[in-house]
Amino acid sequence: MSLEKQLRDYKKIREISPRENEILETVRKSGEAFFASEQDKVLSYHEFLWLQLKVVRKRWWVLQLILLFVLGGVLLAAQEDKYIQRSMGVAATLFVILIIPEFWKNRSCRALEVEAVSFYSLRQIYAARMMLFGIADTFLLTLFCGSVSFSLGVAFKELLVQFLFPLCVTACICFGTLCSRHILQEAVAVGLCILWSGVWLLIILNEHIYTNITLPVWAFLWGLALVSLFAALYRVLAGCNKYWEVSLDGIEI
Amino acid sequence: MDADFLLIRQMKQGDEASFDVFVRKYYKDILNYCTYHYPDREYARDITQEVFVRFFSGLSGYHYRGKTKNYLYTIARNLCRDYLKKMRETPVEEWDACGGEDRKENTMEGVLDKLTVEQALKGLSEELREVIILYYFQELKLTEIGDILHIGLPLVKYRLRQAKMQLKNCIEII
Amino acid sequence: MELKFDNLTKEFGNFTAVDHLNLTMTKGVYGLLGVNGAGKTTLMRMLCTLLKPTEGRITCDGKDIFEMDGEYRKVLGYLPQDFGFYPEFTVKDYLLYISTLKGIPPAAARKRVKDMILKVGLSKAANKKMKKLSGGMKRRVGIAQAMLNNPKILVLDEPTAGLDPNERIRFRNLISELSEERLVLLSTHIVSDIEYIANEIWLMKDGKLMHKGRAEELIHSMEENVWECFVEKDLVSSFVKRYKISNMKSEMGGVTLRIISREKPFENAVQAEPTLEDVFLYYFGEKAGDGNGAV
Repeated sequence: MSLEKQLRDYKKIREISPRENEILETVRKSGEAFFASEQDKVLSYHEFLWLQLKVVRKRWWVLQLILLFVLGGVLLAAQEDKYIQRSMGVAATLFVILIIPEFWKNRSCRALEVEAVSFYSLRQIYAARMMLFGIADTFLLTLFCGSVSFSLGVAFKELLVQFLFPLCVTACICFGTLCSRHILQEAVAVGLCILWSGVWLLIILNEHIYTNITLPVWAFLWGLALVSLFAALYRVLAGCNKYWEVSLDGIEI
Repeated sequence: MDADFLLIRQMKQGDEASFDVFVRKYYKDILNYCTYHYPDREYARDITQEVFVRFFSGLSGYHYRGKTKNYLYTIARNLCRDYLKKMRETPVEEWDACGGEDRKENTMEGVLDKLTVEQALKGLSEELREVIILYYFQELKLTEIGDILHIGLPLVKYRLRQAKMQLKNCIEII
Repeated sequence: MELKFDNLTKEFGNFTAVDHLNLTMTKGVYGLLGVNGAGKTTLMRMLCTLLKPTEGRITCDGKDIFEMDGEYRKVLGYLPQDFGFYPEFTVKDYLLYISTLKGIPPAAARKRVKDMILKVGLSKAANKKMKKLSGGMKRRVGIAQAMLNNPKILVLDEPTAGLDPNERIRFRNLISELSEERLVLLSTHIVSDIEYIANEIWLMKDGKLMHKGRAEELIHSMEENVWECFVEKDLVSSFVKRYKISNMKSEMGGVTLRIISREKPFENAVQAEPTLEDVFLYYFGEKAGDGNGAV
């Protein structure tokens, strides 16, 4: 008999079969071991970002996209009508207002307290949202500005002044009011934005004022707006754990 | 094995049904592998369970690189070696210890052959015996054996040749 | 594990919400009793690092909790009085979301959420939207979310407020179960919530700790006695003005009053065994005749 056959026969004799109960017990213990080791792990920041992205309701981004389409359509229809062009500011305000429901969802749902006490606290949540919304909105805006200036021949300077500037100011208002210590309702923030929109329209549609504002002035205003926006963003992150430093007439104490 | 890729992914997500599938897939092979190192069946079963528990403990950090089976064998091999270090060299009688119901007792000839092979195997060095176990009993490919033992293919072939030669000589003498 | 309040003070402008508190906590259930405005919520918020103390500090095993930052929050579970959530989420999705905030990896999170839903008895409602849940069920989700990270410190701010008696009993049992191997701080103004489950009860008033101890100790510490007497209905108002009344039970022909007083208030008054409710009134109650008096 060949060696191979002898070894094969030996194997057959020695082979044993597992019992069902030991398999089940092994599965059980393996599961326990796995979950025990998983519990000790901490969710990494990029996994956290990814999950935040999944939770954000995309419908608001879709609405923003639709808004930009409509604006593009209006510009196309109006062509050279400069008054219509100047009204882009209104659309800009609306664009920013559409962030409010989703970005500050935890505020309107009064979920701040629970979120502030978790491992990834409010600071990380807001930073994550800023990143996600920042990327998405920058992408949408770039697409819009690019296609509008390319296909409709609208000068970039016009876009900067008529659209992006009021957008920036509106964002400042939103981040400034909704992330301050004093709890203002979203309606107030929206109200302020609309107010700004009105003021802006008055300025821009008034031929006298508009033509008197020269390029350096615009540049200065733009710089101011950008700085204010970054300051507001910074304040959000720095101050988000101080919301409770306000006693509300002794009721919540 | 591509099937393992999907399975491991499901397991990493905590899908308990996939744990069951995985364990059932490899349990018998690992169990039998362990019995060649530990004739004591109960001991072998304990080690087998430990192999899977170890694997699952490290599952979170496990990156699928193909050949999960080889990885399991590596764990099993290390565990067997660790346990061995704690014990003294097992006396000859223990090779036949317990578990009468698990063995397929055949003819007188079969029994004689079994003893012969066993004696011959015992005469091999540890590394040669390992190759025999993995090649003939676990029916692994040469490349897989090399992967598990962390040696090159030529060395695997060499050891296998040596082992077969020594076994033949042993058996002829016996 | 030991939590220590070291001369803890919190002032909002001129108003002192928590006044130089010195306390130590280890494992078990601590009940924080007091009326609204006593400083309970402020204390709990400080414990959860939502508020920074004006003076003093809180330490966990010797380390300042504000310096521990994320490490402390990892072992903390909190259910605020005003528990807000995202109404469109289902129970399961909401708990999974909170799990990510708590830094729990997805596989462990799924298992943990499943276990917690089972533990709080919401298996049938797991896929219901949060806005469709009853008050009691919402609170149970609240407790589930607080427990997701298996916290060593569990802080519950008036968890039974607004619940019906059945829900309250269920809550009590749940907390009792969860309190093993954990430090639980539970605030309430309903005495029966903590009477049987608390290892130590703290009585808080105007930001100060008035008294602390086990239920029996507090009862024995009362310097006045409890009397039960049966009076006619029209005499009740005069009694209410003269004495602290702990309980009123309407019966045939009159009312049984439970009065707290050093001396026997009435001829046929019978001394009764004091309960924790009596203690509560003894420390926090005023007679109806007083300026601010509410019984």
